[in-house]
Parts: sequence; structure tokens; C-alpha cells
Amino acid sequence: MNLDHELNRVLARTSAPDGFAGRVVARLGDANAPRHWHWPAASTLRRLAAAVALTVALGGLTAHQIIEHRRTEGEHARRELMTALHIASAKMRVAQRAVAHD
Amino acid sequence: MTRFLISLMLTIIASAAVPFTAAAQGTRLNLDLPDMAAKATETVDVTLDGPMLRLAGKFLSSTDADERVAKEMINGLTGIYVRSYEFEHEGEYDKTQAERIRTQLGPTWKKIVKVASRTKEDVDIYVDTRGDAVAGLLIISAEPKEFTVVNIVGPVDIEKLAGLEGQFGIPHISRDLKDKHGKKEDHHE
Repeated sequence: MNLDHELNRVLARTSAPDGFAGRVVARLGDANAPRHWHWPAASTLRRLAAAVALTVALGGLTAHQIIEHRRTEGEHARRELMTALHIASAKMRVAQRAVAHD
Repeated sequence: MTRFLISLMLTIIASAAVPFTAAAQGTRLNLDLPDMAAKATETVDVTLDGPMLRLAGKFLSSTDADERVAKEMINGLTGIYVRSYEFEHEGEYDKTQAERIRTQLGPTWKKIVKVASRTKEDVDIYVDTRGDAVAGLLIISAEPKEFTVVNIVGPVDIEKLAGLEGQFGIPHISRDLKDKHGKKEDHHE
């Protein structure tokens, strides 16, 4: 078998079958047409709902922890502030007493 | 290269602006006395910087009289720092350590009250003044078994701070501190 001859035969230019161009145009028309949306399967919906619920729960828990941490920090700061002002005012009082005695 | 030059210029401008900002707000003093802290049986260490001070302010009650006054007092302040050391025995700490704090006071600081007592409590009160405005306060109190130092940074209302005594359940003794402080200094120094 002559390889050149065989290649020429296989790669030889041939005409498209009748109606080929029409079918391609028709398929293109189908591709551009709006597709109909279908509900996902029930199992997919269940997984999606579980993922959303988990995300909301974790988000809520984290938000609660942040708020709780901030509240604890704020209460601690409030107590420290009151202690500091108690001490400062007590020392001012000592000075006031001495001034009053003069 | 241009971006680098712009960054460099911004850095220089920012670093030059810092001292001016600090000057306007008063300066925080270093109150740490590690030798005293090591010997003390009880220590109170309060460090409330600007953000913590604002956070504390949000948690102050507006119905409690003490806390309502405190809320007004901290308005505009940038820091409150307290170190208080209590010792088991008299004379257990070196009073001269207070000099480490006094040496930090610049020319804007003025002593307004000095109370000296051989047996009870020595109290020195200094204010950091910028023009007519008060930009900071320092209280140094030395008792036989206790040493306390308070530094308030920002526009302290001295009258209000002195007035807190009545708000904290202790009766007013005198409201004449501001009028008499000059005389007081003469008598006790």
C-alpha cells in the first residue's frame, strides 16, 4: 500500500452532505433559545439547606462569642475605670483635707 | 520610584505630625516601678488607653450617680493609668523611687499641691498645662505602707475629679482646692 496515496485519499476535500449548513444554523438557533430552569433534585436541595443552616448557626455562634467577649472586656474596663477614679478622688480628698485644715 | 518618593514624603509628614498631636493631648508618663512591684504584697495596675477608655465609657450606667459623673469625666481623656503598691511593713519601699516619675515632668508641668506628713501620707499633685488648658494630671501619694501614682492624660476637669468624692458616697470636705492650692503649696513645702 502506498502511504502517500492513502493519505491523499483520506485527506481529500469532499463536499458537505446535503442540508448540512441548514442543520448547523438550526442548531445555533436552539443554542440561543432561552433554556428552561428546572428545580434541582430533592437531595441537592436538602444538602443546600443543611449547608445554609450550618453556615447561619456557625455565623451566629461566632457573632455571639464576639459580642460576649466584647461585653466581658467592656465590663472589665468599666471596673478598672471606677477603681482608678476611686483612687484618684481619694488622693484628691487627702489634699483637700490638708487645704481645709490650713 | 515615584511611589517610593510619595511614601517617603508621607512617612516624614506623619512622623513630624506625631509630636504635635502628642503635645496637644498631653503626655503619658512611664509609671512602671519594677522594684516596688517586686516587693509589694498587693498591686493595683490600671492601664486604660483611649480605646479601652471609650469602651469602658459605653458600659457605664447612666442611672448610677457615680458612673454618670465618671462618664462625664472621661469625655476627652486619652488615658488613665494607676499603679498602687501595698507593702506588709512600713518603710519597705524606697520613697526616692518616685523621682523616676518626677524626672519625666517637662516645663509644662506645675505642682499645684504638696502635702507633707511625717507619719501619714505625702501627696503631690501636678498638672500639665497648655496655656490655660489642663492637658494632664499626676498624683503621687506616699504612705508608710503604700505608694500610689495616678496619671490622667487629657483635659482633666480637676474640680469635677475633686467633686467625685461626694459622688462616691463620701461627703464633701472642701470645694476650695482650686482657690487655695497656691497657699497650700507655701505651707507644706
